[in-house]
Amino acid sequence: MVNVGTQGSASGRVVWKPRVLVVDDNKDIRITLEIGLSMLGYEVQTAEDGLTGLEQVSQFRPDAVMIDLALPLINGWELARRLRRLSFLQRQPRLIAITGMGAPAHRARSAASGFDHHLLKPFKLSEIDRLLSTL
Amino acid sequence: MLHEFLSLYRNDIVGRCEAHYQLRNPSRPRDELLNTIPEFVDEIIKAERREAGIPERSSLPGDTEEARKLGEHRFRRGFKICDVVSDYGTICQVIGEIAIEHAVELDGRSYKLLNECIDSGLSQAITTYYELAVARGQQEFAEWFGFLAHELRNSLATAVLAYSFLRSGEVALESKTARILERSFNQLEALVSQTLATVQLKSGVPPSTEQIALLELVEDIKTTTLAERDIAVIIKIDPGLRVEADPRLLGSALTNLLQNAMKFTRAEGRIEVRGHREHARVRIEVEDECGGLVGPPEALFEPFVQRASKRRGVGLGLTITRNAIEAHGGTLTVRDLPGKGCIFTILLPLEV
Repeated sequence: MVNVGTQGSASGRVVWKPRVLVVDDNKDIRITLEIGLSMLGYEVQTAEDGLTGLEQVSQFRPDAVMIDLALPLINGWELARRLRRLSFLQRQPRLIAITGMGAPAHRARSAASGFDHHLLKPFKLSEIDRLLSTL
Repeated sequence: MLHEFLSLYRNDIVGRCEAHYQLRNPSRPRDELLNTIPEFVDEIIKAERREAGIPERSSLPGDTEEARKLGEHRFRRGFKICDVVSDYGTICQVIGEIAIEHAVELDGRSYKLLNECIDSGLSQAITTYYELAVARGQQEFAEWFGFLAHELRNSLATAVLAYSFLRSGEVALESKTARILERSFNQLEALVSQTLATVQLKSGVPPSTEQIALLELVEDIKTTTLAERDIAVIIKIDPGLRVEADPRLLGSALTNLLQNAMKFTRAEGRIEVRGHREHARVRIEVEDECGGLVGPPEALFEPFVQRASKRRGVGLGLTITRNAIEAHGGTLTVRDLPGKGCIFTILLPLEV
């Protein structure tokens, strides 16, 4: 009933692949996160702006969304607010801000916009994995 | 008495000051003259009356809200600080002219008071102008620093991730990841160079020039500015063409133009970099296929104006690029090719 990712099978073992959507206008960040998260066993999709990200959430139904804050069209905070208002989601995805903005005011704004985590660039893949491992 | 003279010729003083203003600023519309002259003249009149009746003046009349307003207005409308000085100089000059024309002899006390009022008003107006200029400088620096930190973090984030994949052994050295890592390093290097060039220009350190082989320089930049997308870069620079320039400043300027062209050129489009000698100058052109400019071309050179909504780069890019070229006595201009792209043209003197 609740969509928590793709059920796959590897070597006869049933594995769950949580879905992660990455929204960042920097192409290299999108590519590296896609490669890295796939290596860690997540199913990944990417979007380059806030509005495309919003559309993809309704189709992809991710378990987590990693959002750059300085996005074109609508910024990351606005995207988070809109995602939190989506009524059709049976389960709200975990929202992780990925950003170069680390001032207390930025973190407070992230929390107020509905983000669960505020991750400062540059970050290690292990940090992301730790945040996503409890999905 | 000064106040009688000023009251009598008040309209003449105001009118002549306005005429001087328009003579000095022929391109400025009349409504840009925030006319604080009548108030200023009235202030002097009041002060003199006060001085005549009351021995102790509480404050100098020039030290007024009007002077602050004038300083603020001149700053916001982009006047130079010397224009503020001229504003006050004009009042003094006009009063002197009228006094001579009408054979009015102003005594020493009147001149002393007049000068005090002018000095006080001028220092207030300049203080306001200067404070606003400092505040704007600090704001621009903070914004620029914010953009820079953002870009550095992005490139660093990509590099850290790409490196961890390579180290894990799960991706090959000749892979997309390796190219991303290389690109991140190039971006970091370009950001650092641009920052150094910016600091050099802002602190007024003159260019340290040497003879540079242009073709080699542009080829180096082309190899380090790897395209994220499939764009052809064609170089048509006369072999053996040399320019006298500061390698860091010229390198940073050309890197910036090429990165910009790569960022905005349509997929599978082409960029052409041309260079040749033209009389006593060197002409360098970077033509891209961005689809044509949106808005006035000159606006591109204003700080923090970006060519499109896809904001990347430190924003000060084209402003600093132009500063770097001008520091060599050259010019940087842009020409729109509507519907196709645009051409950035650098003209550098053969000798700086």
